[in-house]
Amino acid sequence: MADITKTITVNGVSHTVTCDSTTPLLWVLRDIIGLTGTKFGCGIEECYACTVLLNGSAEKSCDEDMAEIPNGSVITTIEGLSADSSHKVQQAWVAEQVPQCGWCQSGAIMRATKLLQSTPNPTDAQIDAELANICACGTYPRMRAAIHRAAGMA
Amino acid sequence: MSITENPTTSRTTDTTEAHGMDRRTFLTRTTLGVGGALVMGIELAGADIADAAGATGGSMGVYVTIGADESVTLTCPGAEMGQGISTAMPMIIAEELMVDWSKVTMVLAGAGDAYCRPTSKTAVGTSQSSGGSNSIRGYHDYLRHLGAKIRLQMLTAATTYNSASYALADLKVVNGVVRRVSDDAAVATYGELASTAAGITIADTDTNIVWVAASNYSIIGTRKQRLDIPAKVNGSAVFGLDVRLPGMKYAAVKLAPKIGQTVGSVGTPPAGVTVVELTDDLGAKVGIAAVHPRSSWDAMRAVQSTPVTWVDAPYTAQMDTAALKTRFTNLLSADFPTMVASGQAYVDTAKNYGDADAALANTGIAGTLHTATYSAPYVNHVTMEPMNATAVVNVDGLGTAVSCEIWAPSQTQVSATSPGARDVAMGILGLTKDKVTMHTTFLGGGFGRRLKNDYTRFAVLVANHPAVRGTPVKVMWSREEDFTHDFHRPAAMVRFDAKVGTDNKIAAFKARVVGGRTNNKAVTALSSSAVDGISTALYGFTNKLVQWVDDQAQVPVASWRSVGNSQNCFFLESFMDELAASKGIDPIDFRISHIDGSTTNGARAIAVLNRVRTESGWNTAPAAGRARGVALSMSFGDTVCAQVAEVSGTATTGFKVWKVTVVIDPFSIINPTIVEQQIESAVIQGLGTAMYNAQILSQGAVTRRNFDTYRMMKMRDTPVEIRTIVIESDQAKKGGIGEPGLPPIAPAVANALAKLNGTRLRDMPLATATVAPPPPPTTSKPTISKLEPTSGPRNTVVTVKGTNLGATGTTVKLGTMACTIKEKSATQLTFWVPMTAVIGTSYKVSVTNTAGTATSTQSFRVTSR
Repeated sequence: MADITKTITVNGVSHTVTCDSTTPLLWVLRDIIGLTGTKFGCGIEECYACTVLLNGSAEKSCDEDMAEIPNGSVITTIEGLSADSSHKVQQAWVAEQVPQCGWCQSGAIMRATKLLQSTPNPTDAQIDAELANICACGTYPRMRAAIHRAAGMA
Repeated sequence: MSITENPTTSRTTDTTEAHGMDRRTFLTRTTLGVGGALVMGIELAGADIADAAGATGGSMGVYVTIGADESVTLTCPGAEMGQGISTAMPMIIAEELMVDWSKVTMVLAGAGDAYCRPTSKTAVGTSQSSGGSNSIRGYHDYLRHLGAKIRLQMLTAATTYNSASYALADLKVVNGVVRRVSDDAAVATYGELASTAAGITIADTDTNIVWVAASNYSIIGTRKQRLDIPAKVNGSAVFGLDVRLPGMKYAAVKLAPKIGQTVGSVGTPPAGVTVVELTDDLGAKVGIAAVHPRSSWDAMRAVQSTPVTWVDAPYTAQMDTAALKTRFTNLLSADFPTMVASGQAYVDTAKNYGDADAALANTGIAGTLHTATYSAPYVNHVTMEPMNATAVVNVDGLGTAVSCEIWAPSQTQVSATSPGARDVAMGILGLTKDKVTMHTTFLGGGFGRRLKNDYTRFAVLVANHPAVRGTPVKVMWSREEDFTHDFHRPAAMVRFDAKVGTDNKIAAFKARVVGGRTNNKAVTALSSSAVDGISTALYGFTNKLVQWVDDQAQVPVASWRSVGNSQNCFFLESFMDELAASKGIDPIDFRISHIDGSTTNGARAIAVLNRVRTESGWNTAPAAGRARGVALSMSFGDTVCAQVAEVSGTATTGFKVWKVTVVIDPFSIINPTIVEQQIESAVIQGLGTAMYNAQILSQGAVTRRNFDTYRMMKMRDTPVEIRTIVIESDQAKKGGIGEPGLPPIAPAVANALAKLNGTRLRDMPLATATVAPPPPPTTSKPTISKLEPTSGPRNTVVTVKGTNLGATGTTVKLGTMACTIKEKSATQLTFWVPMTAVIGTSYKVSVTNTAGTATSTQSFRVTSR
């Protein structure tokens, strides 16, 4: 348990951060860099609220210790998806009026974004398999509709 | 904390904003939403609103500010926890103001007497709290009156605008512009009139205050997009845990691992860490908090590494699921008069008709006796945002607390009796209410959990520690603490006895409810919430008796979405189906035959049942292997809701809900989209909880403390279709929306499963605990996030991390060489580097399954030894 210093690029901006080596990326993003759009839900990789894009892959940031994250890693958070909520997944999320309390939505949007990158026209079964996010409000039917809507957007 | 901007970056980050905004920036932070609407994340103080409105605008009281730029700022007095009131409440005001909806901005009110729940259309009470599905019906008349009155202020100001003289009767408002009725000519805009109008006093009794007729609504009843959604899709919405303040410290809590335990001793914390003992409202030492200046993670580690010993309460070991089930079961048949004499049992005298005991015993009344026992376990609220709050206590030169500021995701801002966030701080610090400023953040879920302010209390206690005072501190709970220190939905059991006569009517009905109370205070009277949904059912029985027995358990309990209805509707509506089936009568016909259609609510319920029969295709055969079940409830302001669920499978081997048809009559509504959202939410949360959820207590220990053991509903479990039909039976009235959609789903599904499989499920959770979550239905393409290590000799075991790595038939290649897989799971795969690999060469790793191939971005370099 010792401090480490790493340089990572978050939403296009390079940050050099010093933290305890065991600190998960989640808390570096939220508390040290100050991007609170990525949410804490469980801390054990079960709920997906903390999902970010890490070097192109949708990862749960609550279990990505900084010691394990390579220098120069490139991270996209919900704040970096677009500067003005114009990303098609965000637009679809608004059009389908998905969020209720909203806490889990960043993680769901990031995971949906990754799904659509790899599977541009997912089936319901593929969405069910990939969107394992927990939403206590039960916005699932609207999430599914929003993913189909985004898939149809240019 | 350490952070530096690298000179190589092409973008500049405002580090002040990134690290923690100054107080004023924080308070006035706005987010440009889709469609140009400004969505305010955090409440503005009144003076700030006036500033924002500009010198020529006007504040029209605490709810409405009109800007010189025609902006309309409307305040939501309640807590936005997902239920949509931060859109629906402004819609009510905006309808009466007759403003352009696109100009409306919403702010969330902090604690304030002026925001308390109204007692009439012109007066407010003493509680600012969002619960009981009571926001719209509780505030509707008050907000309508307020909007209509401000419109009259504007019209009155316009009568003399620019030294002109117009007759009031010749003026009207169209989209925030005052026009003449006679020629439609514009007289002045709200922005131009606001400063004058703000100085005009209108009596509440003025007969020119006239509400917009329902037939002329242009905002109420329309599908306005929610004002809070743009900020919730771009990460800018500020929830409690997102509060950041200059110099803010972080604290994490460690609370007793078992029910009733208190702190025995506290060991030495890590260097540089402040430890604060936490007490509950009765002064019991319930845990500690550790304060760290750098991050939540550092605080969580610090509190974990601070040793604490715990002391059991006398009852701790008895708080055990198996032992309590035995206790509850014994109380179902214990001697009732004895329990009444000791103050443990009560009869619901208001709903006691005839003589049920005599009718059940009297062999002179023909009929068949039926008895059944049902149960519901303790369940958790599970807000996705764990408990937290932020506070700063300011002190004078002598170290005395002089003021306090709180940021809390609380459902209760003001209340002396069920203490509000403000009242909690007043009590701890001995401050008057004018010295406590409480800001309501967005709530990451509520469901009744955040009616409590224990988390607010802890934040104030930590902020008031001598080593912390003067500095803001955010006090967070881990998910494990959130589960362990929930106030559960109470466990309950019921024994029903009924006699169905030869006329197929229920001649006698008796229910004995054990448990179900929603507070831990000493019992001195019937707990109405324990019998809600049974006592309050619309069915008329000639002989009806509802008994309630207190379980005398010390498990912390509180209201959970739909309160007693959530378990009692399952009990009663399942039993109604049992009785209908015993006579071979259609369940909808059987219900209708017990409802008095000559009453308003009876007629509404019959209409709802008949509508759900039509809309669900009840009289047509379902697809093979499926069955339908129905349930009815009336709750929260007499909102009537019936649901039909179409289901296949069994609760033990797996089931699927294909379609839920919901018909709801809440009298009248504000926004159809929000109503549909709430119904979908209630159906899914109600179904998931009924199917899967139970908190298991083991000798005082809360055993299910995170989502690996407490199974939450996921998308793949969600009903394929949820269809909502709203009946608006009376535009002059409002019923609740947030909760009434929840109670019927569990019995509707249970009734369908009973019809399908012939097995009656009487104990929640309905799905047996051994049922594993169904596997994902298809294989998805693998992804690779990481290789470990990234170099090594031949025969090295390399770990690949990523997703979808566990499917049958998955293969791995190093470059073009096929590799042998050692182990694999969904998120991790290991393989051996082949002996044919060329030393000194770097290879990419690829993983292939039936859905596709992923190739690593990192390379693995083969070394000599």
